[in-house]
Formats: sequence, structure tokens, C-alpha cells
Amino acid sequence: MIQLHQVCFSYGNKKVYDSFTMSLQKGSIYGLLGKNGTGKSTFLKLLAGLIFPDKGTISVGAFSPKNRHPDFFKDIYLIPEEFNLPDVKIDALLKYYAPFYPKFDKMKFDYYIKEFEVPIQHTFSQMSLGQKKKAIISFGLSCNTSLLLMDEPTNGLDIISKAQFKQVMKHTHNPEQCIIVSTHQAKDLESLITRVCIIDEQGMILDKNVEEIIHKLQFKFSQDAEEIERAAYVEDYMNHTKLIILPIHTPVLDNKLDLEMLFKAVVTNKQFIQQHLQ
Amino acid sequence: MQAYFNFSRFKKLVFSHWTEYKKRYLLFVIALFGIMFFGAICILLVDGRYAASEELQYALFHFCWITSACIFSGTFLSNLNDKSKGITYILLPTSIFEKFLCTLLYTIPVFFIVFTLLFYIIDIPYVALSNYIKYQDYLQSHSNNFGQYNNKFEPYKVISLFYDVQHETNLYSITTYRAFLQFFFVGLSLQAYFLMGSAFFKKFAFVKTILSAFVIMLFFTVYTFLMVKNNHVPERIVDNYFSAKPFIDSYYWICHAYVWYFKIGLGILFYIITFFHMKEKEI
Repeated sequence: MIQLHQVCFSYGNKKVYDSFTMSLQKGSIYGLLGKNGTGKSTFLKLLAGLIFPDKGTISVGAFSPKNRHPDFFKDIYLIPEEFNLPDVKIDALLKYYAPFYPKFDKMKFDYYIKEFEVPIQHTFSQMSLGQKKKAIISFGLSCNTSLLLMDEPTNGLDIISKAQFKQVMKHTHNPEQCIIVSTHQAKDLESLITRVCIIDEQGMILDKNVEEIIHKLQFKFSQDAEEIERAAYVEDYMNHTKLIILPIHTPVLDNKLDLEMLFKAVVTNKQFIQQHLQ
Repeated sequence: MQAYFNFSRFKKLVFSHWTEYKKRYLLFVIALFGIMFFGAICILLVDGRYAASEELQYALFHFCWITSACIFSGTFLSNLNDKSKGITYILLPTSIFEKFLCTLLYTIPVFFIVFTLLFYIIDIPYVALSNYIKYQDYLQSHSNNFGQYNNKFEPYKVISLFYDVQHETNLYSITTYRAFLQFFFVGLSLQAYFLMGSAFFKKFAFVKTILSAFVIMLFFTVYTFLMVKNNHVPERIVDNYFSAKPFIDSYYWICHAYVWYFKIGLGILFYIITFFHMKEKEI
């Protein structure tokens, strides 16, 4: 569905992507992780056509984002980290903005708004940042676009709202849709994503299905010296030791992806993890 | 063609734009009304007898229209320089051409119609009040002449921008068609320049637009002055009356040149640059 071919991009002298090639498929929820300044937001902006690659090509479905074709924009929605909503009530948003998106589902929107407890009688200027964020997430999800991009969607959400976000996202599975969620809050994504992408200064260093990862790597607490010795990654956690090890017997039961640990492991022990996930 | 323009999409864009900005525009209209209203009162208080001469009404119309239109246009595309607003604006599923047309719609015809209405709402009572003051003065000045009225009282008329503009009776009068059209083209071009400034400059766009306009005009004026001084201007343009005085020649030549440039489409050039800037804008 999405193809990036030898994409080069830089901000002035600072190179962000150098000959970056990748493909993304519909029906998946991608979790995009990376350190600050490694180009997560840039990746989303390139896909949305907000910025243009210096070299290389990007195609999203039948469109090239840099052409900014209206039919392309109809089928893509970006929830940016810093967003702007007009100072209107939710019904005005629906009346004047929803018609731009032909697959917009009003029932879904009502469900999300109710689930998120967004006050519909208020205008957006009367809402808190978290409420506005929940409103724009609801709108974005209801547009049913083939590509949904979310940049730090859980920033500004309180603990309850984060739980609501997870709840809502669990109901969004659409085999025709590709969702890319960029975040620093790895914990917020653990149970939602189907594929993990990790970016660093060299480009995409990991792009794997969650199932494949938990099949090949085991995330566990252990005090076993032998296990600690052969672990790919070790971390002390409140008088315990958290490990990522290569399982001896597969499949491993009760193995749950720990995104934060995986991210740290990939960043600190990139070659080892990459080699064993091949 | 559908990729560039679709009427139903354009209609949605115009309405969504109104929904988003109506409060801002209404505040602008109220502020403009207030400034024009108090400006009119000040002029009446200074000397109400001559406040509604046709020349002054035309001058006020052109001055207020050009100034307010430049202020309005000078902030119109500032969204493009704001990260969050710019993202929303660009990603709205319409073509850049439709967004540009919507910009033109609000800044040119809609603004002109609203401004003209505001002007007449103020001008009609303004002229009536000025006539009242003039008539009182007329009565007072003639009461000393023992009822001998030497001249008839002639009230001022509310100007009509579209019917009563005089023909070329006086080339330098502000009440001629020629002057009206010249002001109109100058106004449109300045508006286009301010619109371009709002799209180009990230911070303090309005101030930077004014400063850049001054720099360009200064360069152009000095250049023209030197050209005239060194007799590089085509002869037919230099007025015989002033040929011995380079500075005065330059002044007239510059005025003619500016109007000529505005007429042949300096404004269109600014609009084209703005369109391509919108098209290529990265956020």
C-alpha cells in the first residue's frame, strides 16, 4: 500500500533519511518508535505530503503525496502532535468538515465521543487539551481513511484517557486501513500494534510483526545467572532483573511484548537483535 | 480537471472557511466600522461644512479601502506559517487551486462588497450631517445680508462609485473614472502584495511586508530618478513642462510607471507567486 524507495531527506545540513526504502501494508497498526530527532514525525509528514523528499519516491496507494491530490487527502488523516481545531462545537465540525471525507462514519464518531466522554455542548476553545485531543482522535478514526497517521496521540491524555484510548483503538481494526502511530510512550501501544518499527539515525533498524518478535524473543523477569549470561538485554527493575532472551523452546507461553525493553535492546544491542529476528 | 477544481468541493471549502473564521471576520468588520465611524466624527468636528465634498468622500473611500484590504490580506495566509494551523489547512481534502480561489473570493469580492456597504452605512448620515452643518453656516452667513441671498445653497451628494464618477473633465481629479480605476488597480496590487507577504514571512509578516515594500519602492524610486536624471527615459513619457527639473520629472514618471505596472498586472504576478508558494509550501 505504501512504498518508500530510496528516499533522501534533510533539514538543511542535517540528514534525516539517506536512501531509505520501506513498504507498509494495509490491515496493520504500526508502532513507530525512535529517539528524539530520529525522524518519526518527518516520516509521517513525508507520507502525508506535508514535506517533500529531496530524492527518491513515495507512493501511497495510487498517489504520490507530494502532488497533494484532493483524492489523496480524502483518504488520509493525520492527527499531529500539535493540532488546530476551529473554535466551533462538535456538531459544526461534523457539518462542515466531515463531508470532506466520503467514508466518514457518524455512528462510529458518536461512539468514540461517548467513550472518550468529550463534552459535546462545548466549543473547542472551551475544552482542555486532552478533551480536544480525544475529539480529534475520534474524528480521525471515524473518517475511515485508508491511511491514518497519529503523531504522539497519547501526549496530553491523563491516565483514564489513555485507558480509553487503548479501549477505542482495540475496536478500530479494519483490514482495509493502515494505521501508523508514532510515540515515545511505548507502554501505551503495547497491546494495540501489530507491527513494530524502530528508527534511528541510520534509518529503519527494526520492522517486524509483533507475533514474530514474541515468537523469537522472550521477555521475562529472572534471577537465573545462566539466563542473565545469555540475555540479549538486561535491565534492573525494582530489585528484579528484566531480560530479553532467546527462548530455548518455542512457542513461549505467556510471552508479552515489552516495547520499552525491546526499544532499549534494539538501540543498545542492535546487531544481536537484528540477527536473531532475521 | 477534477484534480484542480470541483464546484462541490469548493463550496464545502468556502463554508468550512466561514465556519472557522466567522468570529475573526466579524470582529474585523466591527473594528473597521468603529474606526471609520470615529474618523468620520472627527472630520465633522474639525470642519463639518466641507467634510462631505465629493473629492474628500472619494479620497476617504480609496484610502480606507486600500488600507483595510491590505491589513485583511496581510494576515489571510498566516496559517501557512503556523505549524498546527498549516497542517490542518494543507491536509484539508481540496486542491491548492481551490484553496487559492477561496482566498481570492474572501479577500477581493467579499471584502470589497462588505467594505462598500460599511462605507455607505457611514457615508449617508455623514453627508447628511455635513449638509446640516453647511446649511446652518449658510443661514448664519446670509442672515447678516438682510435676507439678500446671493447664491443658492448646494448640498453635498453621497458619491456613487459606479454611476456618477465623472468623465475626463480634469485629468488630476480624484472623481474621474480614470482615478477610480487607477486606485482600484493600485489597491488590488497592494492587496496581492500583502497576501504574498502573509504567505512568505513566518514571523511579523505584516511589518516585514511593509518594510519589504518600502525597500522595493525605494530602490525603484532611486533607480527611476537616476534614469530620468541621465535622460534614459523615453521622451514621450517626460512631460515637457518639467523636462528641466529631473526631480519633478521623476516624480511624475514614477507615478505613471507605478500605475502602469499595477494596471498591466503586477498584482497578477504577486498572485501567481503566492499560488506557487502555497503549492510548494512545506510544513
